[in-house]
Amino acid sequence: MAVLVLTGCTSGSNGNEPGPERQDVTRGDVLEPRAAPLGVQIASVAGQIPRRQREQIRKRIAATVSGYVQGAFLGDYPRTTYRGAFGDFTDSARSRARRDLGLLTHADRGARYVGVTPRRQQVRVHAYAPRRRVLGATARLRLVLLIERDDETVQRVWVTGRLLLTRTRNGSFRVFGYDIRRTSSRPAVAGGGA
Amino acid sequence: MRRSRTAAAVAGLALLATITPDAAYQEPPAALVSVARDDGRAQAIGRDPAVTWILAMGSDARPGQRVLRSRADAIQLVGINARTGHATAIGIPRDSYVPIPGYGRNRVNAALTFGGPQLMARTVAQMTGLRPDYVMITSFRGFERMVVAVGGITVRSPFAFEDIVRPQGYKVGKNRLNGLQAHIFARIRKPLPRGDFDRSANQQRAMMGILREIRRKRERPGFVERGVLAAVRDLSTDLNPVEAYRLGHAVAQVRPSRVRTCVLRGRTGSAGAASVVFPDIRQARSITRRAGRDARLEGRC
Repeated sequence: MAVLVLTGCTSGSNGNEPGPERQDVTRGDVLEPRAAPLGVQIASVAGQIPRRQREQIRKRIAATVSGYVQGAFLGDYPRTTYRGAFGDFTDSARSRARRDLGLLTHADRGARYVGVTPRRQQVRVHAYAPRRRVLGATARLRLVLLIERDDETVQRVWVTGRLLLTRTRNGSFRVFGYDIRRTSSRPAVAGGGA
Repeated sequence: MRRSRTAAAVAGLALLATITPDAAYQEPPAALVSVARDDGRAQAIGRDPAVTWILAMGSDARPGQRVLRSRADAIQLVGINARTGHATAIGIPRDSYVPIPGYGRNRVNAALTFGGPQLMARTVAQMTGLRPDYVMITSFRGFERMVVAVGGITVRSPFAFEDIVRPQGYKVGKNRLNGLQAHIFARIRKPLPRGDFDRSANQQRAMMGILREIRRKRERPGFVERGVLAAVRDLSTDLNPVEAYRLGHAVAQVRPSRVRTCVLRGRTGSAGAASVVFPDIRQARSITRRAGRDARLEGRC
């Protein structure tokens, strides 16, 4: 039976995050970790919007954020292409993001990954709603990813930060800016946190 | 209170009037570069163009007067680069005596009275060689609200002077100011050795104070959203609210350490009975030629 070595944060968990890792764990214990679904919540709205619009907006922003998270970090591994990660980015933001590919995706190491399981996917949205319409938003992400590598080690990675969104004419949201931090130890909640 | 504190987070978005951007911007070719690090941070605002020039003015309009057709007491041409965090502010003395398109020569701030923000932008463009993308006008009351909204500002004054609004006076060095005290700091002229020129520099110090507060608080959840909303809701503007939102985030990207400020030189004199400043047009054009493209000014003012 193979032995997996877990790296990353080993203490300080709170009730919302997976507990501390064990240093030597049998593969059978962690082979099928539970994947956490993407949870998107409207945390605040600057301005007022009708209640029914709130859920609609939440879903649209969730679609944009999910497209990025799925394309950049989740999906099937090993893989070397991340073409879909920036599909909902504006042209200018996409151009910038391609220069930051190694931090905004798993592009520089995904070929050595066997699998990536999200243990936490929390998104809190702060919306900007002039004239009773949400026209922009900051989506604050907090992801915890469990990464299984081809050398049979498992690493925990935190992805935190912000996606800056504006609404398009068809009602969908596009990313025009980002501030994403990736760490192999638990980041402070303030700043780039959700 | 919390709402008002965060309300004007975006310093460049008080009373706004837009001018259609006319600069063509070439998006650089995309490059695929991996960053082989485990830990790190990637940060960018995808603005196109990345550099925005704003003609920011403080109006002397009294309550009930039209801000967009008043005289500007403070005139600053500010460039911000959302990609690099650089910014350049060029202070234009209020009494600068320059040609105003269609109106002969006059003080630069008369252009606002004659033809509103559009004419003011054309006048400054003719003077400096750089056409601003947006014109922003705030009343001094609006400026005070902005300072209050960010929780007060700290300025470093090179001069000591007295004023009734600040019993302890303004001292050389750091001064923590509330809204009214900041207003006076940006507006007072007589106690300053170089009058209008030093006042313009003080206005830049006040702007820097606001920027530092924004930078400190920009990552607070909802801060930028509330600030931009206050700007587009409370103030008369025809700036597209989506563009205002992006611009707000761009302003919050500016790093105080990468801001360069200059006040245009000039010779004082008179035109008829009026006391005026004959600005150094060559200096103005030299600055905009060097900083126009990326809002980054190297070398001398």
